Amino acid sequence: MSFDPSTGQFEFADWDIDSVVRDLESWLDVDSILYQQADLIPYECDGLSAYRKVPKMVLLPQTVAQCQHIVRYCREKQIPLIARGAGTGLAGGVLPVESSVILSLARFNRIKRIDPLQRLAVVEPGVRNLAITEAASKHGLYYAPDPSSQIACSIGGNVAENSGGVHSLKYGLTVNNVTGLTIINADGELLEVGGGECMDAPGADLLALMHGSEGLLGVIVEITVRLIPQPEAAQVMLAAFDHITDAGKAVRDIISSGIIPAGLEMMDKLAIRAAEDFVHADYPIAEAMLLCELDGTLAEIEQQMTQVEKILSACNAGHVRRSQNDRERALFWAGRKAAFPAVGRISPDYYCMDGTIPRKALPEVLAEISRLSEQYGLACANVFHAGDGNLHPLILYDANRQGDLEKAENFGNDILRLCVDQGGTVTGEHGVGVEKLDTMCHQFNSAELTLFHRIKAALDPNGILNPGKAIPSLHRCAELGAMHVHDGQLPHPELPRF
Amino acid sequence: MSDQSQAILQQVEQARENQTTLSIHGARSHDFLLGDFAEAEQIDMTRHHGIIDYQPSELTLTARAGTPLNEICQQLAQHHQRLPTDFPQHADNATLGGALAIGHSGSGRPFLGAIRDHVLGVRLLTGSGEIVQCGGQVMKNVAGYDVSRLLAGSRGQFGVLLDITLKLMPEPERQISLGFEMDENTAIRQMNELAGRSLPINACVNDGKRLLLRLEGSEAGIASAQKKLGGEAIEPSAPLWQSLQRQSHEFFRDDTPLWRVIVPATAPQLELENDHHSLIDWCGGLRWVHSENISQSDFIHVSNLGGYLESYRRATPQTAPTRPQDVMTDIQREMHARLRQAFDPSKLFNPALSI
Repeated sequence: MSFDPSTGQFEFADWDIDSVVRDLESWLDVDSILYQQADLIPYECDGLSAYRKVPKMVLLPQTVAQCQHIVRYCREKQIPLIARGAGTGLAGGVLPVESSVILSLARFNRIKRIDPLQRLAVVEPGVRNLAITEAASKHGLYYAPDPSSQIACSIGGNVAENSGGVHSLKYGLTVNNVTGLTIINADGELLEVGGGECMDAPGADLLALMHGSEGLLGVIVEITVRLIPQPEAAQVMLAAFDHITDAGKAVRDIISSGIIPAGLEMMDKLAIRAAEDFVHADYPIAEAMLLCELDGTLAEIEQQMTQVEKILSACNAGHVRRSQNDRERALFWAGRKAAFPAVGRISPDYYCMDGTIPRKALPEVLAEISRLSEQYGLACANVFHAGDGNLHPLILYDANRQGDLEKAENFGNDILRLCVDQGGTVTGEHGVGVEKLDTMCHQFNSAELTLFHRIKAALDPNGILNPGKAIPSLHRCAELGAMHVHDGQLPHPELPRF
Repeated sequence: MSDQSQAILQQVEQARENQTTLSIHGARSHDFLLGDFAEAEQIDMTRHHGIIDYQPSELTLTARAGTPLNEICQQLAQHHQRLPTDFPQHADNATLGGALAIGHSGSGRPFLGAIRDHVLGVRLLTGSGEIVQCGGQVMKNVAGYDVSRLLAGSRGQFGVLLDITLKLMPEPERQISLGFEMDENTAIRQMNELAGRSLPINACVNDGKRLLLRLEGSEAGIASAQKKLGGEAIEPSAPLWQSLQRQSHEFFRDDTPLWRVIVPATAPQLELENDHHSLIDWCGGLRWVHSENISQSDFIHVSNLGGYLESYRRATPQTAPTRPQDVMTDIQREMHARLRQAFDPSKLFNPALSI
């Protein structure tokens, strides 16, 4: 095995399954060790099913002590270890690598404690996102981040990816709603990061570092989340536009008017039509549609809705409607929330992007996506968290048609490069995983990637935790030739070029 | 407006070559937390100053680390915007970089978040003499490790913060403050109960006699909340909160040593051995304590409550200001030390804080 912390290059030797099983069985239940092909298949991919690899072994421990033991064992034997939650990730973050063991945290599914007065919940990593809100609701509280997969995704995975959701515009991402973690570091030791019940912790913010670190820096075994009071009321306004630029302008004007909507979402015509055919939410078929949700006290909503209505009409919106009750609000959202599966009905396959741009770049980026769509001959439905500039273009393709997947990936990479060039990022909330390793080379230069690899090496000197994900190796970027050129200097002068 | 990145870089390269150390200073309002830096050469960040980019419609701002918070606030006010949470501002020229490097938050902490919650990106000069851009200017960004937020509270240990991009907030239509006569324990309970209700409250303080609430939002929202809550309106409202942010409030004018106590928000009134008086902020989560003498059993008491106690201002020789590592567990210290090694392998910066 070799791991080069300065470049992120690694290579792990294969290992003998029988001897590892024998070792593990001395301290792990037999039913916690999966190594038969049929048992391993469900772990071959996550939500990014275009990438698959059957792992060599899956472990399902039941106690934190067992998890620690597993980490120590893998460190000693130099076996790559990949912690896995519900497997709903969209970037291949838990895709098995050569000779890897999957550490499933599925059995850690208890809500350990809810403290309604302090507005905190202490949960295990395998607890589903929505289950926290369900358990807190009797106290009039909820957990704010709501990724679209919230019925299924686990809170541990949310931390690893720093998940967002429709409501992150007002209530923040996972990192803004988690107050503490217990993690197992790469040495197998338990460690508290963040304040937990306290609102501060001494030193640098390791809690933030763990968020979105995609399982490369430690294994999360307990999470303390912040709960917030359910708003007195929420209403959503729907508006249609003949020109997508008017919708973009409305987004800008709402935000700069001083209103922070709980959600501000946009869909384009292809997405609207697909959603409408699927869930019949009574959407107007227009070039673009906005959904603007406001929450708070009734008095506040009433006042701000009037303001939003004025802005929308000044931006030439038509079909402006306001939800009259919670049932109608749910219906307005139904189409948006079903947008991905709806697009799945009109195309054999789709490829979902996650770039984020400054809001002002929206019209330009949309025009360029539409040009690329023609260039590649692939349709693209656009669904956005418009309020925070997070785009989810869905590129439609047919995996059975030769060359289509490659075309879709190239189209996607062009979109992500466009986002970076506009001052944005290749991933707003889905994570890098294996999917966006190449586009990371476009966003970060050699010094920045080297720093990331040093951070990894500092916390995981043997590089056993989810190797090869999230941060591309310098060689990969050099070979790709897509590296940032800063100040006219060639990327990676220190590396041989092939 | 002055970009001193290259001059600072040269200073760092020189120090690397000469194997000397560097201490990083902004307005010097928190120098007392940096330990003894007499031996180190100083980097004066106030020269590296100025707003680089401010986009009112994007609600984002990028400024050099040495830019005074006051200057930023003035600029934002012209567009009816403001900083996203309360930034401690103990001097008129207190800087943006200093606020992030110290990482302490003001009264809005439980409701508006900590400073780090609103940091979108930073440009950092590492101890290896490299300038790196981490994060960016967009609200959502999960590409690469979250180095910008990691730096909150790092006190210069990981490098020199050059530029910082922040998320901003629109100025609310209205702010009011309400006061209620109340003892400490009742106030602690009341604060937390109120925070669990859908009300436009964004700060809760107890000054020993009264529970003080700050409410902000739309005219209509504030009027209806005031009706529900009652209490005595404090007018004008803003100076009270400014005085807490600037530590110019009467409570902080005391000459006795000041301690910063972090506890779970619902922890009861502190039972300390010797004479003391406190001001409760952060809805109960932060207790400022004036006391001549904090005993060993006081440390144990706070630790049993689930928190920790730091010696802050006017420390006596026996109680030098607490360094972050003094209140960490061994393994936390070890993780910090390893991370520091990744950013600043030759331990150039703020040596007195070295782990």
